[in-house]
Amino acid sequence: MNWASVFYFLGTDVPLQALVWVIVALGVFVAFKVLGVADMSVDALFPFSAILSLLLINLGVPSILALLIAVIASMGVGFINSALHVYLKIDPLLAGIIVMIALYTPNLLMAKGTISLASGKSTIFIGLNSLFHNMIASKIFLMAIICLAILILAYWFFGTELGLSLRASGKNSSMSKANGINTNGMYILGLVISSALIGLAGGLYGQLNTYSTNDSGRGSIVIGLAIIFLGEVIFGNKSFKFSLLSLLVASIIYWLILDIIQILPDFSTTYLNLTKAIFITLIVCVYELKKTAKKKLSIRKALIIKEEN
Amino acid sequence: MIELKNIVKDFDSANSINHVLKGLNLKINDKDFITVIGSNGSGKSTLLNIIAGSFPPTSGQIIFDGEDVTKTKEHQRAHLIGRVFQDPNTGTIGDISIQENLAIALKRGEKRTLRWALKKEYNDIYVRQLKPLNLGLETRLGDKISSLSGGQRQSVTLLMAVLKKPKLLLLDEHTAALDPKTSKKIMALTEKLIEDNGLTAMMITHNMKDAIRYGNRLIMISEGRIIADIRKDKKDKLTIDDLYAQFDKAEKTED
Repeated sequence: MNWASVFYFLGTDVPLQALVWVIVALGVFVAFKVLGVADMSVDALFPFSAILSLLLINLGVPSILALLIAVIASMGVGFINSALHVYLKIDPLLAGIIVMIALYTPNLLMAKGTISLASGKSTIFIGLNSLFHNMIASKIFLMAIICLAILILAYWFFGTELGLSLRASGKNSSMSKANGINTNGMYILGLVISSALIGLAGGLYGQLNTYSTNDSGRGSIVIGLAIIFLGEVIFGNKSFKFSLLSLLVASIIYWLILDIIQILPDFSTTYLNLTKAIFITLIVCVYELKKTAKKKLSIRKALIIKEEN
Repeated sequence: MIELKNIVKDFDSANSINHVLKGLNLKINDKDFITVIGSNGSGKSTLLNIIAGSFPPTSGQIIFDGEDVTKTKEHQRAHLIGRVFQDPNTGTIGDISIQENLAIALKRGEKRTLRWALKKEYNDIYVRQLKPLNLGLETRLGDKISSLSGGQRQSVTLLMAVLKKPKLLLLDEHTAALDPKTSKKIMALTEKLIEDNGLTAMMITHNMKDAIRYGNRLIMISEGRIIADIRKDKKDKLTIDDLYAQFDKAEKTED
C-alpha cells in the first residue's frame, strides 16, 4: 500500500464516516445523556431507515422525499418505543430491545438481505455533482452542510424553554414534575427526536453507499456511545453547547483512529467488531479514571478551603 | 382557601393494606403558615404528597379556591404549588447552571414554548432575588448548581418555589439535611420569603422548637388523623412539653 492511497482513503473515508456518525452520536446522546436511557433500538433503526430510503428511491420516490419519509417512519418507531415504557410500563432498556427485535422483520422484508440502488436511480448527493464534478467532494460537502444544520438546530432547541424542560425531566423527575413539566410527554418527545436523528443518519448512510444490508447498523449504539465518551474524555463536560461541539470533533478522532487501524497490514475486517469493543472499553475506562481523579481533586480543594477558614 | 375533605389513603403492602390517612379534614386559610408535626409513619409526608399530586388519595377531595384538583396530576397542578424537598439535590438539578434551574422555575405550570429559556431580562429578576441572600450567587448565574453547598442549593430551591407566586408553599422537612447553623439561616429565609410575598405555607418539621416558633398554626398528626390544630394565640404559649403531652394523650386514646 502506498502513501498516496492511504491519504486518499483517510481523507475521504474519515470525513464521510465522521459526518454520518456524529448524527448517530447526537441521537444516542439525546437518549443516553438527556433522557438517561440506553436505547438499544438504534442497532435496527439505523439499517431500517437506510433500507427504507433506498427502497423508496427504487420505487420511484424522489431521493429527498425518500429520506424524509424514512425519518418520519423512524420517528414513528421512536414513538412506539417510548409508548411501550410510558403506557405499558415496560422498562426502557427492554422496550428498546423489543423494538430492535421487531424491526428485524421489516428490514428483512424490505431488503431480503441486501438492497442496492437500482440502476438509473439517483440519491440526494447527485445534485451537487454538477458543481464539483467529483462525487466524493459532493458527498462530503452536502454531509457537512446537513451536519452543521443539525448541530445548530440541536443547539437552538435545547436552549429553548421546551428543550430545557426535556433536559430537566431526564435529570430530575421530582423537580421537573414540581415545576409543571410533563415528564412522560418529555420522554416521548425525547425518544422521537433521538429516533429522528438515527433515522436521518441511517437514511443518509444508505444513500451515501447506495446499498445497505440488514446488518449495516450492527454496533451503532456502541459507536454512538464511544463518540460521546471520547468527547467527554477530551473536552470535559463544561456546558451543553460545548458537548454538542465535542461530539463532532470526537467523531472525527474516532474514525481517524479506527480507519488507521483498519488499513494496518494484516488487519482483517473479521476483527472489526472486537476492535470497536476494545476501543470503547478503553475510552470508558479513561473516562471513569478521569472522573475519579476530578472528584479526589475537588475533595482536596474543599478540605483546603475548610482549613483556611 | 384550600380544603382537604375526608382524605383517605391506603397503600397496598405485601399481604395487608396499610391505612396511612384515615379521613383527614383540613381548611387552610389564605396566608396561613401551618407547621406540621407527627411521629414517623403518622402520614404527614403522605399528606404533603397528596396535596402536591404525587399520587392520588384513595378517597376524598382536594379543593383550591373552589376548584377540585383531586384528579389532576402533579405537573397539572404545579401552577398552584411551590415545593421544597428534604434533600437539596431533589429540588434542583446539579448538572445545569443556576440560571437554567431558575429559568425552569420561572415558568412553573406554564406552557413551555420554543422561546429561549435564558434571557437578559430574566437574569435581572434572578439577580434581584438572589442578592438579598448574601451568598454571592447573583454573580455566579452561569455556575453549575453542583458547585454549591447544601445550604446554598436549598436557598436556591426556596427561591425557585416562590419565583412564581404559588397558592401554597409546601416544605417537607426542608432543613433536616442541613447542619444547625445553615438550618437556622434557611428557616430565617423561609419566614422572610413567606412574609414578603404574603404566601400560604405548610411546613413539615421534626424540630419542635421550629414548629412552635414559626407560623400562625400548628397541626399534630397521629395515626393518619389530625389530633390537634393550635391557632395563633394558644400557639404562642405552647411549650415543647405541651406537645409531648398531647402526643402521649393521643397514643393512649388510640390504645
